[in-house]
Amino acid sequence: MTTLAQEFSKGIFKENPTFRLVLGMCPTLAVTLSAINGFGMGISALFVLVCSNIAISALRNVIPAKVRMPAYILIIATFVTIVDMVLKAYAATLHEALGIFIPLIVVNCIIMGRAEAFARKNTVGRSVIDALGMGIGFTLSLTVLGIIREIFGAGSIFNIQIMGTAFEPMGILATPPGAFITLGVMLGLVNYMFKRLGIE
Amino acid sequence: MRESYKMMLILLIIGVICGGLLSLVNGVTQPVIEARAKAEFQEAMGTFFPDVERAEEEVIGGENYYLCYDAADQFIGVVGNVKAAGYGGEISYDLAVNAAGDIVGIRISEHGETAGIGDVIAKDTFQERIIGLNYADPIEAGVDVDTITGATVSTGGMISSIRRVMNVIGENFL
Repeated sequence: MTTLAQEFSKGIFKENPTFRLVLGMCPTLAVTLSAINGFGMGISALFVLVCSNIAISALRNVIPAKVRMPAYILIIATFVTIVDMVLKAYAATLHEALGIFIPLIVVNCIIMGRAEAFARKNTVGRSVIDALGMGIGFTLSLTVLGIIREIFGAGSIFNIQIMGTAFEPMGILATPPGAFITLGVMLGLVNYMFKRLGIE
Repeated sequence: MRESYKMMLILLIIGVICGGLLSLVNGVTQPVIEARAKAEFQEAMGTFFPDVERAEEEVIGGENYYLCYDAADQFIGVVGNVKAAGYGGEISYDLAVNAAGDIVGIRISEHGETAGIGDVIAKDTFQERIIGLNYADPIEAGVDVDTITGATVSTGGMISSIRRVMNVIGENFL
């Protein structure tokens, strides 16, 4: 049996959804235009992940195996819609920036994956720890990608201009190809680093 | 047979609970969202026409036009809440035209144009080409307004939409 600490840290290191499992690539590539967008997307997914893991693990003995998929989708879609409405009301600029990718959290494979692979076989407590680890891992990865693309693509970090006026932004990093390039380089770097540090 | 009834019942119960939860949250957020959209539009209207005292709404072809009046109840201009066809779908924008038929302001409220290319429509580079044009001007891409290289579809869509909106405003309000 893995310890709770291992359950938590696996989402950040060993099974980091972005850099190790390479899951949830659509939002990763699309919203990491700036640090704040990446962070906002990560936090939204974290909230949905924690809520859906709680609900699914609590109902794991109630939901019949044959209809578990529609039940999960219902539960996840509910929490996503709540996030959508709350962001629209209280964080309008972020809601506008994330756009269609908020409702698309419903089909984010990280969330379905955790429901299917973890929450339906584990207690509520362990599922919450698992969701927190995975969610934080996802948030960190997206924020790092956002920071890199924002620094080089716009010369700022969390919307604060840090590069001098002489700095010419690398426009390509702000475009979809830039997302692929940044992700590819980071995938390689992170995995090389993990290998050197003995995290496999 | 009994098992399938049980499955349906459980799904039904989950669905009802989810629906209830959503209507609860919606009840809280809907007024906030509506108030914000209204405040945003009013703020935009205030920047177009600082003297605006009241506005009358008119719907033409499914789009909203607001006739603005100042404190002396003098007609000062129109703000159109209109749409253009862009490269990434519909572009929603506000176009402000004063009583003399000059474009005094434009504000893109929603668009799906490519970041770094087509989103130039929301920036000064493009918008300063539009502001100051008059109803009597041709307002045609390549004639008196130039599209922007690389963003021909986005900027061209905007220009032809502005011509259309100017016609609506000119025929109905000026």
